[in-house]
Amino acid sequence: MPPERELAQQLDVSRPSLRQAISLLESRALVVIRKGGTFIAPILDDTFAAYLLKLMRDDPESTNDYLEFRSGIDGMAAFLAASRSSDIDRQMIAEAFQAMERAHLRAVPDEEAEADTRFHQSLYDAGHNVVMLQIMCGLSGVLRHDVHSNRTKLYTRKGLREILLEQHRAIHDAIMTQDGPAARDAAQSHVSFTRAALTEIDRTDARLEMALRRFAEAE
Amino acid sequence: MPETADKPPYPETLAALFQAHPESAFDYLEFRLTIARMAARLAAERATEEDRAAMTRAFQALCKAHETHAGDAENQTDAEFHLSIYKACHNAVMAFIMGTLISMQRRNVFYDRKRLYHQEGARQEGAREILMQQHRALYDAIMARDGAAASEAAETHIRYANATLRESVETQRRLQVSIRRRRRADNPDGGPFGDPPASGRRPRKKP
Repeated sequence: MPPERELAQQLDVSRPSLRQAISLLESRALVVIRKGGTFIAPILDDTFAAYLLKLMRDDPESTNDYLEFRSGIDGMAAFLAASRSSDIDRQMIAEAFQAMERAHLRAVPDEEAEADTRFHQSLYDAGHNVVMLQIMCGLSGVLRHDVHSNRTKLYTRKGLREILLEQHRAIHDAIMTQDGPAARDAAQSHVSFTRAALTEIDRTDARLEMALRRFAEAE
Repeated sequence: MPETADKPPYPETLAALFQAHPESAFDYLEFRLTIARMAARLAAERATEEDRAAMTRAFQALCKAHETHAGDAENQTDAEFHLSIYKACHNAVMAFIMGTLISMQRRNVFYDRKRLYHQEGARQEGAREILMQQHRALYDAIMARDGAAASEAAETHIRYANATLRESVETQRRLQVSIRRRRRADNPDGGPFGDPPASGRRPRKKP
């Protein structure tokens, strides 16, 4: 956060009132005061992140679990976004989708994966449910690396890229016409498809690896 | 997350954020509605014999707490019963997230659980019975491995909690209005809200 003097000016309050407000926020664990200044506390603490990361490392099924969980949540997010988004929310979803289309044309997997993440984020925002928003932002924040590498894995596949773009278009269109059930179905089947595709890719990779090993042994 | 004496088993900043916004109670129940439906179906389809035994133990503990009118034990066994369902889904991410949220609610982060049980007068017993019936319907459907019925029972349960909480908030709001009206009647000179004057002393009436 900016230094006290600056913040007091910005908010047009006296410095004693500001100090009182900050100490209230500190007592609620919403800000942390350290030598270098005042910081906004991380929403999810290290214990939570560490536990989740360990879970993902130790359990080979956890990516599958994450996507199964997400198929339910993203369905809800799309439903809520279709039924209660404001004009501004819908504009931001449209912009996120346009960014996906641009990335698709440039065909850079890394950029496509990033635009994909942003699109889903815009759905959580437009759902206006703070519990869903905080939990999903927390999850995707902690799992940033895994999620990004999985998405990149998908976008490097020819054929898959087109399907994924069309699935996102279906979600986008249903939200624009404010059709909740259609948005939920589109989002649910998109995440379920992603889950099946990733499972298939991993299986193929494992088979290829085995074949290569056999080939090397025969040499 | 493992629970330790000094630190609650959830991110405290997140809990503080929710606590600062009472309306997050309804977001919590909305979020749970989706997950509880999914979890009930998955538990019905996937529970192993071990999971079924654990759910049965949790359900029996809940029944016992209900019968003995053990208020706090009823709340805790209620939470344990729902946790045993999440564990039977064999989805580690869901079990972790819902475990975190339930441990927040165990400490009344989203709303005071008494609001679901302890309603006004005669309705209190009714609410306890209804909740117990809903738990039994959920348990029976999962044990019968009937995914659709389990999902429906979970939805009924959460929708009821949502409606009860909404009613409780409305009752509180109406009570505040009555209090203001009463004050206004008692202090006709006390301004638009009937508050006593700032000095704290009532204006002396002329004899």
